[in-house]
Amino acid sequence: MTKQTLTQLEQHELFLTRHIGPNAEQQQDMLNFVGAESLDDLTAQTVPGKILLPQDLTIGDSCGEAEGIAYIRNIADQNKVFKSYIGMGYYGVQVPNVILRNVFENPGWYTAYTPYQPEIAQGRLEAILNFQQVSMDSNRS
Amino acid sequence: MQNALGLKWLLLPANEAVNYELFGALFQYSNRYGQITDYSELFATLRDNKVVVTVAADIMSLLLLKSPGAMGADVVFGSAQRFGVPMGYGESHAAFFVARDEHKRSMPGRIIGVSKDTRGNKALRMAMQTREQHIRREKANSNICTAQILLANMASFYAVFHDAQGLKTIASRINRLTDILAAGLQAKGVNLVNNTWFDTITLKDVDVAAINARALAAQINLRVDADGLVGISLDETTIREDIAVLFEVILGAGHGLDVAALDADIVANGSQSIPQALERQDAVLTHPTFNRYQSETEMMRYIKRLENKDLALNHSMISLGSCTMKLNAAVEMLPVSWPEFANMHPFCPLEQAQGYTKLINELSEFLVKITGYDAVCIQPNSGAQGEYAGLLAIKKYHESRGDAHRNICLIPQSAHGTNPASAQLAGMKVVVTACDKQGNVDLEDLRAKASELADSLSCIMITYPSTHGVYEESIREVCEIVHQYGGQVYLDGANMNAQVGLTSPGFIGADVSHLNLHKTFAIPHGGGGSGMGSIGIKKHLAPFVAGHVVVKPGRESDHNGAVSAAPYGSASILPISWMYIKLLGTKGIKQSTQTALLNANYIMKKLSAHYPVLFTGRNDRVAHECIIDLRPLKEASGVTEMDIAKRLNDYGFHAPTMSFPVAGTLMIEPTESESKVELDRFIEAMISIRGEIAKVEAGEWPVDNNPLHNAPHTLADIMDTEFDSRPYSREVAVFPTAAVKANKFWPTVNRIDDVYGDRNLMCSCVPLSDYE
Ligand SMILES: Cc1ncc(COP(=O)(O)O)c(C=O)c1O
Repeated sequence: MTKQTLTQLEQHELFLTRHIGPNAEQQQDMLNFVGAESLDDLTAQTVPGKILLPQDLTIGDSCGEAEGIAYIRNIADQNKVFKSYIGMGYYGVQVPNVILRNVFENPGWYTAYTPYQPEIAQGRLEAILNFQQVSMDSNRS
Repeated sequence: MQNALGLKWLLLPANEAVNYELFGALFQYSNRYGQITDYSELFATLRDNKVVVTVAADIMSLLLLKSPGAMGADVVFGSAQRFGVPMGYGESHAAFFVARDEHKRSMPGRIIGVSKDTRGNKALRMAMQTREQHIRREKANSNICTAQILLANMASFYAVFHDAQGLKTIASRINRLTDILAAGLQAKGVNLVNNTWFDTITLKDVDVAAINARALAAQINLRVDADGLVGISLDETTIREDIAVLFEVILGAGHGLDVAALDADIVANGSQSIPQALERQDAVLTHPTFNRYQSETEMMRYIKRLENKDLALNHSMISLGSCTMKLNAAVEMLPVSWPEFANMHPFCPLEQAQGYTKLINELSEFLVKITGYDAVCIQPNSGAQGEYAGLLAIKKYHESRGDAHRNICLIPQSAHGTNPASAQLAGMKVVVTACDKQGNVDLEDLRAKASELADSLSCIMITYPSTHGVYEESIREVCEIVHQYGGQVYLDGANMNAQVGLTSPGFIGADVSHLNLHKTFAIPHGGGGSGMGSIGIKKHLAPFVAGHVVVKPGRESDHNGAVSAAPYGSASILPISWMYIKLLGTKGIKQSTQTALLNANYIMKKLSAHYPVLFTGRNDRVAHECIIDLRPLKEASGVTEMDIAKRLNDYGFHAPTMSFPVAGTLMIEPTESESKVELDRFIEAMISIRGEIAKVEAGEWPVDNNPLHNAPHTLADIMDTEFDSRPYSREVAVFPTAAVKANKFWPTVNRIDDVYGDRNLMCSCVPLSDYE
């Protein structure tokens, strides 16, 4: 049987290890290579002491994905979605689901950068060119 | 009235514009009541008088209405939100902006143009980059950097999917439902302000309070911001049942109106809502792209086909320095699609937006702690807009103290191009201060300029850690010098990923900063936006930040002008940053920063054996990014930074930031989210490329015919029998390492000719035959 406590088994810091790329072992390797004992040591070697915060911020504990979603679900539920006829530049839409799923919710589209490297960005450049075409067509003389 | 640039403006009835000597005029089509007017004659007169005619238009209405261009407008702009992008309690939306041909070279922002690659094939890229801030700085046409690309793409796909006929049907349905609503109400004696419309009618002489009470009871929001008037705008989501409910809300029960009967009547007798002279005659969206993807299968594959051409974070690390391309976790993204965040109107009553209010308040509290400032203004939509908002706050602060003459903005040589461009937009005068050989702000030069200009000093804009990727030791002194001479300190927060949890702009002594929530706080880049550039401020500036004319939650700054149309900017993406901070907590945000330092220093140390590292700080450390200097190599071998950037594409990587802040360099920012495995893969690629450069240096490969010069390589290259004459193999060209072979990304075009494209500027869709 594992000697870990229930709190440990609940893995409250699991997301943290998902967000940060190198795992503990990799971090240690890298610290050894750059010549620092720990992240704090590296920080002390790198950041001028006079601007280091005297103590940690107080943002709260790390939390798991399910817990985070539960928090924000609760916040979302405090918004009341009424039917809007206000207009003023903002209108209800039916996002075509094929676009919702394949563009809006697709990291292939949402994690790219501004197309400064056009040879590897012809896809979104074509999509934006289409946008320009729509804009010109609808307004042209 | 006057804006920051000193442009004076007058608010007039449209037809009075001809009575004044104007440089430009702006019209709304439809107007606020929903009225549509044919301005052709008026525009002709104005244009004869050399007035630039600008029109704000509704993109959906234009499918049915005579275009502003046809009426003679010079410039037309508007929101493309209603082409399939949710309201999102704000404006994570693209705008469109078009102009007559004669204005195209002075248009602001991003323009995609068609050019050709080295094989002579059509290829696309951003055109006329030379007029942008990173080249023209304070003379740039705009300060826009991060824009709204993801949403522009959604709108463009919406048009592609529906095609011209489909869009026209949607627009016609909206117009018909509006006709039905208007006919029913008029039949019951309700008076309207407008007698023409596309989708909006305004009722007058009505009991606003009673109608609004019934509306709210039916979970409906109407426009009720003017005495005695009720505005109603219909949209794509409106259905016939909604019209029946609106009749009840406005007329009360027992009105006896029938939607089907009203419709039959309109079909039989015609409608005058769009006067004949204003009906659109010409065909729109005739390009074949808008006429071949109406089946969902075709559409799905078109999207995928385009996606395959692009390198994003789901393929490999994007180590763009100053851009912080970290993980955008799926869990952080989920809430953005929820209707409770997506389907909220930014001007809905605040009672309905309690969730957003709570989210924004909590996020603001997080950001206040992280920045060490006293308050946060969420509104700006990008870093550059944050700069503008921050500078306006500084300007108003000086004005409030009788110091309106303070208008000099000091900017170090190494600054990002948006800094001088924003200063220029805010009506300030830019004075550049020098950097020393180590890349640090030259304190002597700064002191000399600050004291010489003390009477007119407004502020400094400085980035920390510097754009050179080091923690300057003298940052506190920089702040002190500027304060001593009466200036304010704008600290550009683009590099906050090296500060969070370790230090903060407030602690350092700055007065105002933007945060790029789309860098440090996990909002994805979207291929070029949306982002958020919320600003943190010290107490004394808080009364001077952007407010909003419609939504006023009771802050001191509510009466100040806005920098964006919606009070909380692109509000719908704020849940991403909230989730990021909430999930990581105190420990996680600090550890992220520290790991970003570790990753950068690891790459720096590994690469320093092969490439010179340009700047380091104390103990030879870099901050969260490092710059490698390619100029000596270029000198020795003729291989350029561009060659190396494009060669990285062959290795499956996006290039790091090229030639910013120093020409001839690459700036590498790995972020904390990249594992050692990925870092090592990148390092392997860079070392392998160094070996290739050595072969050019040694004369083994000619300068103008080697894998670097010819990069990137495409499938067409290696299928070409002429490839046999190259001094290197196909294997070297496209599979230079085992890792590449195992996970190949294929660039779809060869190197693109920018000069050709700018000379022959073409910004519309190319014939399909060019793709086939
Ligand atoms: C140092 C610096 N300042 C300002 C900006 C502008 O930010 P945004 O693109 O969000 O407008 C950037 C963006 O890359 C930057 O690197």
